[in-house]
Amino acid sequence: MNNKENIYALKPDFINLLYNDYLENYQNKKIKDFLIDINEKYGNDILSYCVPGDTKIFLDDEIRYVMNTTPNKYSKKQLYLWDYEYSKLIYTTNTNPGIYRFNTQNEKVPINTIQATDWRIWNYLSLFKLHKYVIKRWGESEDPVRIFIRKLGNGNFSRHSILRLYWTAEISNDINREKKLEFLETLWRDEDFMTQVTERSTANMKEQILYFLEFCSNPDNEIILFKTKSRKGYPIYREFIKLFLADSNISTISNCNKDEVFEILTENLNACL
Amino acid sequence: MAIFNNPFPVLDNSFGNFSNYQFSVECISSKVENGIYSFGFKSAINEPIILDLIENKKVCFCIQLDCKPFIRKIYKAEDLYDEVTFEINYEDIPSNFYFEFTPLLITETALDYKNENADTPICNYTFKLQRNQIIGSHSSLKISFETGYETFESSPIIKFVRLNPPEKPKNGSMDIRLDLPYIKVSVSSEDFDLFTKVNSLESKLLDTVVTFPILQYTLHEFINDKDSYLEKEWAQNLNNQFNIFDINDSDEILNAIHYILKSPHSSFFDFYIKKYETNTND
Repeated sequence: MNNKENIYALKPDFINLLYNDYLENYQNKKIKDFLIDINEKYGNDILSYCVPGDTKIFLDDEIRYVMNTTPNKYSKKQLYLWDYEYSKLIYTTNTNPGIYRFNTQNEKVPINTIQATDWRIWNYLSLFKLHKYVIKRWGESEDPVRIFIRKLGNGNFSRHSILRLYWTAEISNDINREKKLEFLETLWRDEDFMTQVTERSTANMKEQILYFLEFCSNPDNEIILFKTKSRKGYPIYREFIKLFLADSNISTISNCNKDEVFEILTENLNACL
Repeated sequence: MAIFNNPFPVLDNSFGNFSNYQFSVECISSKVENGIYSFGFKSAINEPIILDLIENKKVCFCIQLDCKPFIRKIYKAEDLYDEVTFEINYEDIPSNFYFEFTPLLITETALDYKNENADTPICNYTFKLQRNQIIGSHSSLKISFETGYETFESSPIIKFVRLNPPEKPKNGSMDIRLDLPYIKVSVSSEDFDLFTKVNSLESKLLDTVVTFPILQYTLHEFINDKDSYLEKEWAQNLNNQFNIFDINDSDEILNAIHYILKSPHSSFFDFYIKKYETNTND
């Protein structure tokens, strides 16, 4: 197959209209009720509610099909594995088209930062193009953050049903490695870990967060971080992430090289024990 | 106003230890040109111990850039110890074109630091500082560009072309071509510059004044020879949005133009690139 689907951008006014509709008319209802209703009402004429012109962003048709039609095979406690699987699926690599654009040599390449932060596009995907997947994954939720993005922020990005998949892959993408998404598995070690990492401002330091994930991927560190509980009963990684955030307030971590980041993290890990 | 956290967090300005000393920073340049944002910052520091550390390259002045929620980078003073200049490609920043700059003084090496200017008993202490530790910070400067580069690199429907002087359009004030994926409008260099200026001040006005005759011409040509244009990208885009395939006469053309120009998000121009509306109400 490998046909491409044009991705459009919903008009901001239309997103606001839908958002207000959700708040006013879907109290005590589920996301799935809302998604079914709006797709019935607007789905056939959705281009009328999109910004004119071509975004030059595409989604591989087969990926859209897989996401929308494949039933969930994971238990409630393993849903992060589903997220991990689709995070790999939606991100553009040499072997996977995902969501992409074309460069001047007509090669498929990942979308740029401006495109990746265009909230109109992610709303289009969650509300319409990939709504069947969203119903399967988040249909029972009542939290609008799973389907709407209305401003740029770490919290929104790590909670929105589709953008979290793309964004976790983007954070984990190490262009210097043969297996570029090697650390994505670590980031999706569980849902709480992913949220704790991506919701904090330290996630903005692309280079250093890769060092962080590499450190957490070390089998010895992994055992301590994920399988040991702190005195408060949480996994150690929660305290470990907080210490890293604290470090970012007294040092310019974004200027640190790998050795320096590892030194900080080793110190923090010892402090957690 | 100068803020001096020194060395953070052991001392901060709430102690009042540095009331006579300044860490002032001025933004000396900010512009966007050819898709590149350029910024320059100049510091003024009169604290002798810090100045000495800077001269000996143990401490440096830098700007921490935050483009929330994705980018945090450090730009350090290099050739001139008190100035930082840097450039950012527009494709590398988020679409809200929002920059937060925090001037900092950071250590270049691990060092022992003693500030005899501090009040007792702090003046008697020696602090061990790590490399990259923040010893001074200034309040942040936040800049949001109202105009920037549109999210779409797209094929907007109308593309303006600036003719090289002294070339002028052959058919009055503009030449319009419809045989391309987009509507190509060639105008004189004077008109192009005027459009750019008007658009930077009031884009809706330009939409109204310039789009009207272009759409009128385009839609007349379209109904006269629909078969030639049905597959054109510009026609399909206009149809997706405004159902132009259903238009058959002059009255319907005027109605369609009225509807198009009334549309709050119709922005058809490529030569001027405008930030899309963001929502910050929640």
